[in-house]
Amino acid sequence: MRNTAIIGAGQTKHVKARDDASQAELVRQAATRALADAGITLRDVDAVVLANMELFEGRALPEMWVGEGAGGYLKPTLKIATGGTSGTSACIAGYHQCASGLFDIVLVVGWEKHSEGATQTGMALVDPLWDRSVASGAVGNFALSISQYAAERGVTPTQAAKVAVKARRNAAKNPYAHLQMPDLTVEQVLNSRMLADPVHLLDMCPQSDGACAIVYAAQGVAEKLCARPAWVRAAVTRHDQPYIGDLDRRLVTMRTLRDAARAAYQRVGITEPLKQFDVAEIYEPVSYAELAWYEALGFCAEGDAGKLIDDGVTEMSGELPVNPSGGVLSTNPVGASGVIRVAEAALQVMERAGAHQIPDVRLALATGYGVYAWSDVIILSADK
Amino acid sequence: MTELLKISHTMTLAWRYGASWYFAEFIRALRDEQRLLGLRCPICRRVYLPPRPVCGNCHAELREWVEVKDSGTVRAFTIVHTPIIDPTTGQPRPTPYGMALIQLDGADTTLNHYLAENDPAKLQIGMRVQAVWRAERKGTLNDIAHFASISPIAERDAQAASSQASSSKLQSPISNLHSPISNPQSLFITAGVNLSFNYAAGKAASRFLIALRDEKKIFGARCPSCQRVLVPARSFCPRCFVDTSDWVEVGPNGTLGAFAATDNLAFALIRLDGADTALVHRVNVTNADELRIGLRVAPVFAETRRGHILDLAYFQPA
Repeated sequence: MRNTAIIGAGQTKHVKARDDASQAELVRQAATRALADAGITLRDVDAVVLANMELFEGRALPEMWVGEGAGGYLKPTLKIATGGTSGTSACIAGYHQCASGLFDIVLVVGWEKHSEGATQTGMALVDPLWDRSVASGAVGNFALSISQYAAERGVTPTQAAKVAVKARRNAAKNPYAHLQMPDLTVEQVLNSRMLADPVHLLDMCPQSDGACAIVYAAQGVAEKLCARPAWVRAAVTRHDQPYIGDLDRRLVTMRTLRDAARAAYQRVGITEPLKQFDVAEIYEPVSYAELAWYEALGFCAEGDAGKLIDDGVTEMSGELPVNPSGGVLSTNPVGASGVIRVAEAALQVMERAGAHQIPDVRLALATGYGVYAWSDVIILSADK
Repeated sequence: MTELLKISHTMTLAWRYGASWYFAEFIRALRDEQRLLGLRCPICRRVYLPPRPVCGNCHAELREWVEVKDSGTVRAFTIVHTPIIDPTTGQPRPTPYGMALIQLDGADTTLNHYLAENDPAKLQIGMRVQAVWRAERKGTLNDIAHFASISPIAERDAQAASSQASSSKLQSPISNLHSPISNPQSLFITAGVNLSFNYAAGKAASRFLIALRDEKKIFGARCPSCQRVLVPARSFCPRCFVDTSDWVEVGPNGTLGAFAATDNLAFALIRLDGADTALVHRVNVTNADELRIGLRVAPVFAETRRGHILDLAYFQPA
C-alpha cells in the first residue's frame, strides 16, 4: 500500500431543505469546492466514489441522476450504502483505490436530501421476518440500547445533555453546520420533547440536506499539491450481526467500534488515545452514543465517560476536543455525515478548519457508525 | 428570483419475501401450538430466539430446535413517544408504547417486542415478563400482543400449575425437534408501502419548466466549454463540469433520433432544432408504421400546465 493523503475537502451549507438545488446540483457544489480546495480540476481525478442511502430519496441507482454532479462522466464510479457509515465506508473505499496503486487521485462525495423523501418510513423497512412487525425506527432502537448502557455505566440524562450542548455550541463556530444553537442549555435539552425514553428531541441528530466531498492523492502527487496533506495512517471497518436482539448489550460492548479501533490503533501505535490524538470527529447520532464511544475508543476507563464530559475534557479547550465541527448532533445528511467526519478531521490536520480550528493538530481520529451493524475508524496525521 | 418548483411522486412498492424453512417452522409452532422455538448453534451452543439460519459469531448452520418459554427477563426497554409509519399497516403507530429486548427463558439472545406498560417508572432492567397472546393467531410475531410484567408470586403459582399439567404436554413431542425439517413449507411474506417524495427541481430545471408552463417555449442551455446546447436546460455540463452560460430557445420542432413503439405511442429520443442532445419524450401517431428515424415531429402542449415535463404533452408528426 502506498502512502495516501487527503489534500482537499468541500461541503455545502447544511440546512433543513435545499429547495434551490436539485440533488445533482447539491452534489456538484460540494465536489467543486473540494476540487478547488485541492487546487485541481475534475480532469485530474481518476475515480469517483459516492455515498448515499437511495431509499430515502426513492431514486434507485442515484448515480444515474446524481453521478454527473460528482463528476463521474467517463470515470470509474461506484456507490456505497451502509447506513450511517456510508460516508466513512466510501472514504475507506476511496483510500483503498488510491493506496492500492489503482488510481493517483480519487474524489469521494456523500450526500443526502432528507427533505425530499421518506426517511422515517425508509428506516422502518427492516428485516421483514422479525423486525418489521415491531419496528420502532432509529430512535426506538437507540433508546433500547441506551437503557442498558445507562443502567450499567451510570451515565445520567444531564451528562448526555452536556454532550448535546457541547455539539451545538461548537456548531456555532462552523458556518456549514445545520443547527445553530449557541446558547442552548442543559435544561433546554432535558425539557425538550421526549422521543423515546431517555432520548429527548435535543439529544438526537437532525435530518439535513447536504453534501460533502474529499480528495485523496497518493504520495508523490499529494506533496506537490498540498503544503500540509492529511495522511491516512489507518482505515478499518467492522460489521456485526444484524438482529439487535442478538447483540450483547450493544452500546456497552460495542464490538465493532472496539475491534476497529484496536486494529487501527495497533497500526499507528496508539496506546493512549486521549493523550495522543489532538482532535476527534466521531459519529454520534445521539448524545448518549458519544459517551459510549468514549469508552469503546479508549478515551477513558469503562464507566468514566460521564466524568469525561463533566470535566470538560472533550470540549474545544479540553485535552481531546471531540467534534469541534458540531458533529452529527448538529448536521446530519446521512450519506454525507461520514464524509463530513473525515473531511473535518482532515481540515484540522491541514489547518483549514477556520473558527473551529484546534491549534497544533498532528493526529486526528474520525469514526462512522451505521445502523448497528458497522463501525469505521480512520486515523489521519500530518506525518506519513 | 426564479420561482422554485418541486416535483412530487408517490410510489407504491410491494415485496414478496421467501421466508425459508426456519421461519416456516417457527411460525407453524407459534400459530398452531402457541409455542416458541429457538435454534441452537452447534458450536457456541447459544440458543437464538428469534431463530436464525446461521450463527453470526460462528458462521455455523443452525438445525437444532429448542423450545423456549413465553416468559422472560427484560434486558433493555424504552417508551417510544415519536410516531413512525408502521410498515405493516402504512399508518402512523399510536404512541406512547413500550418496547423491550426480552431474553425468553431458555434463549440466549433477546427478542425485540412490545411491552404492555408505557410508564417508565414501572419498568426496570431485570423485571420478569410474560407473553400476552392474541385470541386469534395469524402466524406473525404480532400473535403475541405484547409482554406484561408478572410478579414473582404469580410466577411461582403459574409454575406450580404448569408442572401439574405438564405430564399431558410431554406426550406430544415437538415436531421436527432436534432434526432438520424434512419437508419444509413454502412460506412467503408479502409487504407493501407507500412512499411520498417531493423533489426540488433546482433553479435551472425550474426555469425550464416555468417556460414550458407560461410561454410554451422549450429552452436549452449552452456549455461555454464544449459549446453544446443541452436540452432540457440544466445548470452545468456533465462532460465539462462547468456552469452553462446562455439559455437558447430550441425547437419547437425536432427530428426523431430513436424510438420504441407500441401501437400508436412511441417512447422516443427527439433532437429538437438547435439542440445538441436528445430530449426523452413520447410521440403519438395514428399508426406505428409512420415512425422512422429522421421523422420530423412537432410538440403538442397540454391545455392545463403546471410546471412539469408533461406540460409538453407529446410530439406528433410535423
